[in-house]
Amino acid sequence: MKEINFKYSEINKDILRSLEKPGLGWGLLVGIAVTCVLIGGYCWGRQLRYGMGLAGLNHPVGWGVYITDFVFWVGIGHAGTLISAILFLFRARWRNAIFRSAEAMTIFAVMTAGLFPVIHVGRAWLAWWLFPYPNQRMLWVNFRSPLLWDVFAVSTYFSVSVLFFSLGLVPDVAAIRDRAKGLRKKMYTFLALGWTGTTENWRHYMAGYGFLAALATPLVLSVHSVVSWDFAVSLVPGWHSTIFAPYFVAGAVFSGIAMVATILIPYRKIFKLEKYLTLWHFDMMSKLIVLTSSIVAYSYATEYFIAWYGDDSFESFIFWERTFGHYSIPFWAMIFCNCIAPLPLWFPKVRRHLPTLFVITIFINIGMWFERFNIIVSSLAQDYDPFAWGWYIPSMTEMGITLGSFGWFFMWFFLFIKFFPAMAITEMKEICDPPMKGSTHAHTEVA
Amino acid sequence: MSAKKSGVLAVYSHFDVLLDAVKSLRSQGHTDLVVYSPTPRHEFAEVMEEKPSPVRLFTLLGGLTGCTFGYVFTSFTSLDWILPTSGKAIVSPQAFTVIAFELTILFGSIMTIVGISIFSKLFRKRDMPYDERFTDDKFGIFLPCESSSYDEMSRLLRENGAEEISHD
Repeated sequence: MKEINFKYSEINKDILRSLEKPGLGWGLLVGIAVTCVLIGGYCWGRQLRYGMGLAGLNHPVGWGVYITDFVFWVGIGHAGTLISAILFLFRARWRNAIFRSAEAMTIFAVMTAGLFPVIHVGRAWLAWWLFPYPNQRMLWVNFRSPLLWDVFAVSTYFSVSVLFFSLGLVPDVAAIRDRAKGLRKKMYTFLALGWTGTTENWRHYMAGYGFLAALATPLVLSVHSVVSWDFAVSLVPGWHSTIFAPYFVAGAVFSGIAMVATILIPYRKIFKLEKYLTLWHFDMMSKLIVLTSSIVAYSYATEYFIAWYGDDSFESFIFWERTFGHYSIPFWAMIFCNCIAPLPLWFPKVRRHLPTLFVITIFINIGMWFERFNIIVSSLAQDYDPFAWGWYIPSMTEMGITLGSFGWFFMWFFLFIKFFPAMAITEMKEICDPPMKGSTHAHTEVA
Repeated sequence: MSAKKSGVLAVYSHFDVLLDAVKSLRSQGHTDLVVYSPTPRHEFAEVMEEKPSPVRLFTLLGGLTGCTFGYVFTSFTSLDWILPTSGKAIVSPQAFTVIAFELTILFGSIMTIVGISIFSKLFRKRDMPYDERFTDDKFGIFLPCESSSYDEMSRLLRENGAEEISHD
């Protein structure tokens, strides 16, 4: 399949067009995002002022929307490094057009996820107690707790993603530097770190980039595994399961890829990048969605099978209750959005019909949020002792903060696309024939 | 701040012409030439006779340091502040493996960036002539030489297909 229909010399001009003076539409989108951030900030401010009573959390449901949001956003953050690192190692060429936006999305999603443990602990000003540091009380944290593993996993994931992302940006920032003027030139000169593109630059850069990809790959798999162990290591019915790690990783990639497609479909249209971001790219993303949706659906089925086959009355009770009990709406929303809505993507025509794909990815985003809500809340609401059962309903404060988190995520993304190329210039040139005088061309057929 | 190296800078539009020029110049003993390119190309490894980058040693060193630190730090802090939990061993290598794994990746990544910065000479002022089109669609060769040899080197580069030539 030949999908490269652009010229080497056009790439800089076409991609850097997205950095030109923003229009009214961009301003409007940033305005909406900032408004959502302000609503979220206001709700969090009230929670800090009046206490955790404003959240719907109470005994027995101590983990609710905040932890749901945390797991959701960490999951969204998984596609970036997956596309960037794993597909890089597999030399999948369809990655080149989409990995930059996916990586940026990872950074902003993990920045969003990182807010939620801080919001959730209530006394946010003491959140740094999570980290081990020498202190006058001579205390250390409990390294046998999965929550501490999570602190290390998520902060390592954020740090490595930022390093990987920033390294990938350096040659492209140098390209912006070389076209910019005035203050912008000064800013990009500083950010380009003295990059000139000599073969010596490239030799060490490419070696290091490969090693970073090799390090980031097991990291991606470890992060959501560790997040899943926050639940699986406990003895709560519905949580204490050995399949949680692969189940959560597949779910994270599923939601992350869906979010990448949700963002790239309008981005491609707005900046007229149809030449670079072709239907073939969306077809490949859709196939990954189909694969991960199937794994997620299989995991749901396995959970139910084991609950029945294991013959543990508490376990089978909680799965019955999830399906037909108090929290059946989130359950059926999850099943519809994650297992049924992606089914049309088995057909090639649907995979290449972007409006339909856009709607399906929105459903997946909603479904994956409900999946986390379903797992977290239903198990806590009805664990072993019926006298301790209790129902949880998210409060307006929690929903306001959730809205704010979406605003926060999109605000950073919109700002990013105006200051940096959301499509990698260098990598697009790598898959394109360089200008040749003779008739022999480097072979660039898409694998 | 280092002074600018003296020499001649040639600009090329075609990749195949550039590769031929590099081969020819290196065969004539100009092994100190510098090549500019908007992208990495595997052909350079061959014509420039590149050796494997030493960045890999930094990655290895960082990874090993992180792994060791992960186990030592968690064990030391657990023994420093004894916190019995459900009869679990105070020093629990299985549980600490998660921390050691994460720190292996973290330290390995940081040291990789340090290695790239050192060997790619990032964070330094440019010390060679450069053309801003090298990040767009042009290629370049910089041939270091004394100012007395400028004419000779310019002629050599032109014979090897250079389209534009400049020097201080």
